[in-house]
Amino acid sequence: MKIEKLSGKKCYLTHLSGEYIPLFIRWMSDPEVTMGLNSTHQNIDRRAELDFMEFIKQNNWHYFVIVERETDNPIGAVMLFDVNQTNRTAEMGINIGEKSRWGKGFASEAIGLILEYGFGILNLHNICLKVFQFNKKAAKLYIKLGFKEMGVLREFRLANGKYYDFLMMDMLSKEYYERKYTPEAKHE
Amino acid sequence: MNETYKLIGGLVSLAVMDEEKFDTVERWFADPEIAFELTNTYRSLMTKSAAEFFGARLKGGEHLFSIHDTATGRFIGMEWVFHIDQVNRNAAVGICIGEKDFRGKGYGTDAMNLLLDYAFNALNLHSVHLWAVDSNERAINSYEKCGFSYAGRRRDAVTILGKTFDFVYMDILDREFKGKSFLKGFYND
Repeated sequence: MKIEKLSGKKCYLTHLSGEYIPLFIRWMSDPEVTMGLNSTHQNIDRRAELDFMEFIKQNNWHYFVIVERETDNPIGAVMLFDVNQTNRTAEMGINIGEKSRWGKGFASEAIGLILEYGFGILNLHNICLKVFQFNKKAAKLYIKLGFKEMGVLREFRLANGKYYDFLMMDMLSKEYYERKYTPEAKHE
Repeated sequence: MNETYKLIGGLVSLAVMDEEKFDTVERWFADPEIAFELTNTYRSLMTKSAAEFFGARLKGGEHLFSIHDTATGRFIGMEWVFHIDQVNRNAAVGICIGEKDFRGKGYGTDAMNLLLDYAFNALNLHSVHLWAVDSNERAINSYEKCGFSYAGRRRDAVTILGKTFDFVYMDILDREFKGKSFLKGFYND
């Protein structure tokens, strides 16, 4: 049993711990996973993971490990970073490192949990995210969850000799709550 | 004044930022008008000295320059390249003309042009972006003159004295840099 910080149906969020390092190294060594994270060119070993954990502590990241409810196995991570309580803004990121769990609705639920946390507990006003143009499934999911396109940084990513745009999206707290309290939203 | 310039332009020239200049930067950032333009940078400076804040950025591999009036050598502002991603060839830039007498006269535009020259022709970047508070029309007009174009808008990104403002994102690609290049003058091909 892991500590359940935020509870969903299929998954729950727990806090980060050193015990996940070997797992994170496995995820971060898989180009298919790191492609969307822009970290394929970084070699992540135990030292790098420890440094990263220190970094997120220093920079007040709100970082959660996504755990599958049925098995209690960690399958990914979801986080808020660049949290600015003065302006009430933050950026969101997610990674389902366990490829066998792709396309099963875990990301959708985990994002729902982190948004509830960001808007409901941290009292944020605007949460944004960025996604590479080639990551079409993710971009589609963010729109479905209520994020609005806010801009494009052109030719921001170079891969296999081709440049790809970086899409930026954001969501305001009132948009989040309008959706949440709409009768239709509950049946989604 | 005996400044060693790295990039020489018309109105302004750039020197590598020297730690001794951070006291002046501290004075600029104490001005509320400048503080509003810089929003989050300013807030970091409420609890850290400019030397601490920008010193850490210098050590972290960011490229900071002091901006000088070419005619007199006077230190009038600073600008920097940060969030540098050499693999994907992109970065963000920031600028501040701290001496207000030098605002609205093309010094900032000239300084940004030199910084873009450096970013594209020394760092070999492909894409450079920035963001500004949307009420800062003077800055946005200057960026447009340098070749930046509108890239996006983050709604209510900053709250100042109870009022919210959007952030405007702008970007420029290497092929869109039309300014005069100081660096290209050294290569005869």
